[in-house]
Amino acid sequence: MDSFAKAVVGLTASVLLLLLVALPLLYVDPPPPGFVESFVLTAVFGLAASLLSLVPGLAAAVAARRGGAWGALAQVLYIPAVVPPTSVGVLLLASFSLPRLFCGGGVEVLCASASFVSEHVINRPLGVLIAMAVMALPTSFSIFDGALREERAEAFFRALGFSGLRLLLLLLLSLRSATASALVFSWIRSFGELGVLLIFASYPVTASIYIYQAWLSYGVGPAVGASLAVIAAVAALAFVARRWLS
Amino acid sequence: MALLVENLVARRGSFVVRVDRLEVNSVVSVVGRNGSGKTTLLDAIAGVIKAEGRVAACGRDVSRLPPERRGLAYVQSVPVDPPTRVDRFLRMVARMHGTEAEVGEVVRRLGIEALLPRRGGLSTGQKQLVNLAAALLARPCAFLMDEPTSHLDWLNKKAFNDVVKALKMPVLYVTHDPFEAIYVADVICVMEGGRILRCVGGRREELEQVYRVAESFWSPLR
Repeated sequence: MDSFAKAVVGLTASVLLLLLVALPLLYVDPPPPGFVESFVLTAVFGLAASLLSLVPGLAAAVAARRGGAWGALAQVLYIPAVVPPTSVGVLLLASFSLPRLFCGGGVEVLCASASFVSEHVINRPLGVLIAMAVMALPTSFSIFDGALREERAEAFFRALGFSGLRLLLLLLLSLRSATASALVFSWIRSFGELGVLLIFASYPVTASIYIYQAWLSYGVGPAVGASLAVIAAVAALAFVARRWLS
Repeated sequence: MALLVENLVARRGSFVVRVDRLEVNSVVSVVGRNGSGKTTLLDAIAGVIKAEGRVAACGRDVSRLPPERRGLAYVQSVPVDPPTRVDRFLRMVARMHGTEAEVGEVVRRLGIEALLPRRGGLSTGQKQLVNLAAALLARPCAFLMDEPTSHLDWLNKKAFNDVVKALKMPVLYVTHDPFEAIYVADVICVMEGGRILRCVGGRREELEQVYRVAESFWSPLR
């Protein structure tokens, strides 16, 4: 690496470490109760959401590589990455608040069904899972899209006679670095998600909501403590993952 | 006839590949520069991209069939990682095509017995041989090979091409290397600007003509 690149990397990393670690340490206080629970909850829901995003992300990448109308449709999976997360949260909230549309309109069966869905999704564990899965899709999609650009595994397996779900499963196993990357980076992403969760699924309390509430209720110090703990855990995992997968 | 292509027109963006007629009954190599349309031709024959015209495999019109039903094995330039342990993967492919009894023979023929218990850590050349074994077990009408040795060192390249020659099966073998084409193929076709300009075959002297044709394309670059 030449000296200019070294200087740029050194400067950027130093500024980030100063802003995200060194200076906040001056404020650090122990996080309020509930930190471990929120961390574990985020880890579990994030893992489930990442797993859920793998097959759709891969299928979209395959469709995108094939082009045509399905390829264009696959680009929809990028939407959660390119619009503000708060917008995604508001839109999900609206979609799962359908009872308002059906109730009182004479369609009582639909009203009951929509109410049931609404009550079991918004600010419920299922809502957290849906929100995280929606936000994980663009990560999976982009990672598999990149992998399929380098390796034409789909053409190889299709020519061997594989199609449908078996084709996707073979691709997941064959592109194992990409699969592991998609899983790890979608999971890491789930720790950073606030906008969608705050509006659509703020309960059970996940890491980002916990930090936000700690800041509102206890001030900067305890929120800094929780934030640094999350940074330490997630950044270490991201570093290991990058070393292992590259 | 193993593979017959007639009046094929395939498009990739504004680039158009047109092939009036191409027969593959032995190892036929398509030689051309980067961007001459070789991969687009293979993709169109394999059914990976849409194309007009007729593709027949083992005498059956497969033009409207998806790649998985064409009976054409497609070996890529970047070999694909086996999704599971090599032996399990080969058995999976064999089960699908009713060729379980041939796994041992194919493995011996390609000399990959030692790779069977392995899952990862295969070299590029080893992966390509495993890909070829899987393709053989699919019992295809013909093989499509897209620069299959472009990522292999000279020894692995020679080993792979020796296997291809020994297969005695129809192969449409794309390469940008005329020397390799002369080594591996019975018929060599030169492709440029999306068209197959000329095919020569039979005697070694005729095959070597293709080198002079290819050289004439490249001479302005020197």
